[in-house]
Amino acid sequence: MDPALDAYLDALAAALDLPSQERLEVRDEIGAHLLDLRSELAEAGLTDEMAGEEALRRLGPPDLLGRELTRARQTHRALLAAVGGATWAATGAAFRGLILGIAGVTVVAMVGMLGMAVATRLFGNGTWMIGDAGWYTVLAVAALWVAAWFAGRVFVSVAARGSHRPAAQVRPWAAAIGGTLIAWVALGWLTAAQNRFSVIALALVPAVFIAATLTGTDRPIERSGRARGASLALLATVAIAVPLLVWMAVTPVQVQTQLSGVGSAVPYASMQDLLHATGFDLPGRYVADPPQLGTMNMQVDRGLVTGSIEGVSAVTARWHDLRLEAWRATQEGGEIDKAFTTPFAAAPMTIQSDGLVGAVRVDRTRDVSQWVLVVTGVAADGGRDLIATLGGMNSTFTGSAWDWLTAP
Amino acid sequence: MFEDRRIRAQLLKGTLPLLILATLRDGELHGYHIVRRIRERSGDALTPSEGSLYPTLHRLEAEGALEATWRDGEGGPRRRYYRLTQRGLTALESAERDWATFAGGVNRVALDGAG
Repeated sequence: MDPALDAYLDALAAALDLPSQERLEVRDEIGAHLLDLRSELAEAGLTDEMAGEEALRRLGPPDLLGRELTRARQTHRALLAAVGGATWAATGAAFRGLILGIAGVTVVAMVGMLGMAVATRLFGNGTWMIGDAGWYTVLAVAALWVAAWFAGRVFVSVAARGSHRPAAQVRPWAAAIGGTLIAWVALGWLTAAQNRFSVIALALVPAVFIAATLTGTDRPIERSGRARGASLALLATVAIAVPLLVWMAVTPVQVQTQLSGVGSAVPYASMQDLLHATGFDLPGRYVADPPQLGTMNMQVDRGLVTGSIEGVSAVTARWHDLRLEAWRATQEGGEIDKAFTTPFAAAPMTIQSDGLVGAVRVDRTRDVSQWVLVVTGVAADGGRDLIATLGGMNSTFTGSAWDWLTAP
Repeated sequence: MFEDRRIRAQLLKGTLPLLILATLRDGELHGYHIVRRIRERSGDALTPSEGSLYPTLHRLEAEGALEATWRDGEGGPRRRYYRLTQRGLTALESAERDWATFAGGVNRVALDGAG
């Protein structure tokens, strides 16, 4: 093409604030018009040079035309439609990324389990296992990282093309608004077993999304048929596994205990010595003549522990201010951890039918992995006594990352 | 008169969407042919400027009144052809009614009033 026309078209393309593909298309369209117009003017008698100049004059200054063409495409309607379309596309991409992430995490977990089995065989004693369920949350959140990356890249690509804006204009808005929404969901809404590493992993989800949007482009992202097939296969796997996991999560655990006799195979001089050695003198004093109690029950349902004792009158005749208390226990023998001199959770016991009932949450205090549940009461002399020990379990903090950060 | 030229240019700019939609009623055209068709049908009375034509074409496309496709030229560059959508046809019919009302009112004031 004529150098003057090329220079005009280059200046026009530079003045267009549009995605790169659209700039090329506008350049081609105006270029074809210039050639047709120059030919018409040349046929009318002008020289080629004058015909070219007249054609450029009729189009007007390239920067003005560029601004008008940009304004014509970047309508509010197109912007709204683009945001909606990009959100929908990003959701689909996040789902595909999540499936891919789950596949990756599954492979890592299987390799880890194989490693543990080999280590057990090679190094002998004990078993190798993950004691803190927060680490399972870390594995699951790793899949969310992949989802967030896919969502961020697709959102920028679709939003830029749909709104006829270059990716550089879309990126900061996508990062700010999308990053904030995802941070709210990941840190404030998602509930799971938490430890400090799972909280860090969840904080990385919006960070990954922001990184993906800031490096996104306005070029269309294509998916191959093979990738679609792999996504369907993984979807089928997840569809079978998720209902099983949900069923396991909602099924409550029931534990029953009964008070046993004192003095059987105790290597200590007295019961008081035993209670002191195991830390059970912290909740209350040893009761030499315990009352005859009925069935004692401890039920755990998603972090809420309910303790009950039958035989109200035997207890209320001697004690008041009855409490159900949860104490941190050691990993080894289920003894009370003597580093802590107060229970991490306590609640009053109330009379229901012919029983005493109380309930405490054991999953909302950080760094509690083992606990013991006891019943205490204040005697006539004002001292607090240990009335009964209901049992113990291991547990993990369960809640959102924000709950973990603000927990005691 | 300079003012006459400016008024004519503003009138043409304001009616350009109607002229484009009406021109495309008969079939798809690319931008250069749209200008020529308007000039021919108006008896050379109306000559839209290329600087106004393409922003208007793109705006009509963004609003859904037009659809565009690329066609390879015969021995030349590819060209972008525009055609009316159903929404564009509805907009054209509405614009024609509005123009008839407007032009009728202007005629009654300017022409009948002078007589």
